[in-house]
Amino acid sequence: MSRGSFRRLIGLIRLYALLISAAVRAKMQYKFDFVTSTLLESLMGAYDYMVALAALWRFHTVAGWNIYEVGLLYSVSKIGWGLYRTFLEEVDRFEGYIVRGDYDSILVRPYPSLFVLASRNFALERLSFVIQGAAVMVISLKGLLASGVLSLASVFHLLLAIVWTTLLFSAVGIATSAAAFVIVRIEELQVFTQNATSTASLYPLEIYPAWLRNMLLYVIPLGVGNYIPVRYLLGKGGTWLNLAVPAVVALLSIMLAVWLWRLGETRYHSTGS
Amino acid sequence: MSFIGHAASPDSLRKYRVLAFKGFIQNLQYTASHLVNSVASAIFGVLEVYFWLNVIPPQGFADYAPLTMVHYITINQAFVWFTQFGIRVRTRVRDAVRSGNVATELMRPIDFYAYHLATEYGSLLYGLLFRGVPVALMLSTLGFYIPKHPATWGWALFALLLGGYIAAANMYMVGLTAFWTTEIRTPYWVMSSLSLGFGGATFPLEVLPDRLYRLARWSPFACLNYNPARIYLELSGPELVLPGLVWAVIVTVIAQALTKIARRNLEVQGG
Repeated sequence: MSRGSFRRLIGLIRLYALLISAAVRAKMQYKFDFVTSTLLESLMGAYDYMVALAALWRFHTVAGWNIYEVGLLYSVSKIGWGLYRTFLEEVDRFEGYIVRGDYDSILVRPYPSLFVLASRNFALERLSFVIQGAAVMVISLKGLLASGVLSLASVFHLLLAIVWTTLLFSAVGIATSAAAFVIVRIEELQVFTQNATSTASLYPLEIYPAWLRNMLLYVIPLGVGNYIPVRYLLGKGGTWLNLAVPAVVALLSIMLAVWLWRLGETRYHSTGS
Repeated sequence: MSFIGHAASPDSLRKYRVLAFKGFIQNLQYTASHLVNSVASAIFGVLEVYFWLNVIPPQGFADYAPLTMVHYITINQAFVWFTQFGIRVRTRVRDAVRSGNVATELMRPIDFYAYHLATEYGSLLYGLLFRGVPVALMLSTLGFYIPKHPATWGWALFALLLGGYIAAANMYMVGLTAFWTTEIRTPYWVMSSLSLGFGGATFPLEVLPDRLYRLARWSPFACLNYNPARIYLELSGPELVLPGLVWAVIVTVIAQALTKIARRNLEVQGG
């Protein structure tokens, strides 16, 4: 990296920190409302886990996975989703920019458009997903460490799995939002590419039919971030490659998503005459 | 005495019919978009079917053999569009309070509660026909139950209509909290979680631990999905309509009482 590029990168990081701290200060004007609603959402939003909890409390396992093991899958996926929404909330709400024609104001800034979008909002309230996931992870780890299924070294790999999952959610989110440059309305597409697939990734992929499993591994690879490494860490199959593949897929996916975003940008035309 | 103010006269009833019809047709312009959404909704149905097929024992549990479980999930994927999703009355009431338009709405010679419920009900009927039915058709490849007795259709529909009414009234009350707090996010999360969890939208209530099951079964939320689905699947008789009738009356009385209190509490900002 040349000295100029390095200086520019440092400048971007400083600017990002400044803009984000302003966004956080604005949200903290209503501290009580923020804290109570985030905590309550963390509790209430854990519906999927509550369903799994109720089901596994009564029937013990799903495809051989117990509640702690499913909890591990759930927590990695939820934390990844929460971090994606926290950092890239405006990318997720990108449809509005295109519909209202607000994207013009992003383009006139002297910074990459994805950077400008990311720095416009730091969605602290989305940390409710992270809190949910972290709580489930603590419970699951306690059970799995006590029974000797997991070792402390596995915790490090789980943290890495969260990073890869966050990148994968970001890649899917950016690629889906890039479609707005062409088709404008993407809300329904997001339900398909993000909501349905993220829900699917909460459970072991072997419960699904082959077409759905393949979609979650090769087309919208959200299952690669959590299922592949967690399966190996729990001794349910695979090799050390299960820990390496998610990193490769996540990085390639991000590169592909950014390429799609740039391609989409070339198709952008503003609203109005 | 009428629970819904002006609703007693035939002329008023005609007004509410018109409002419901408007609520229905204003959704028609989004039909194509909703059909696309139905594909994604069907995927959620597929996820649920495979999750439960892998969880329950091969011989089933309670009244639910594996195939009955599939039937329960697929029919509820249609019902949820009438009793759980797409209910917007809460935001309509909240936005009216925030913008101050609520003052005009309260002055109209029409019952505030019935006005909002009628509009919502029309919209929910649209949801059932144009969102629920397509999802059920798509999921029918996994298994779909057709009742053996013709009367079952009528009883199940009646139970479902009551369920939609109770769901809309619940969300209306969530919207009413805006008269005090402006922000309704927290009551909404509480109500929607209870509706989903205790409503039996994604699993039969028998899955819950016994005490919770007994509590959920007699709560108003069971009338949203669990009761209509059991009647439809002929697992229970028409007597399961009764809890819906009772709860419909109770939520109406509570919603009307809260509306009166909210009306007295109304404070419109501005000069």
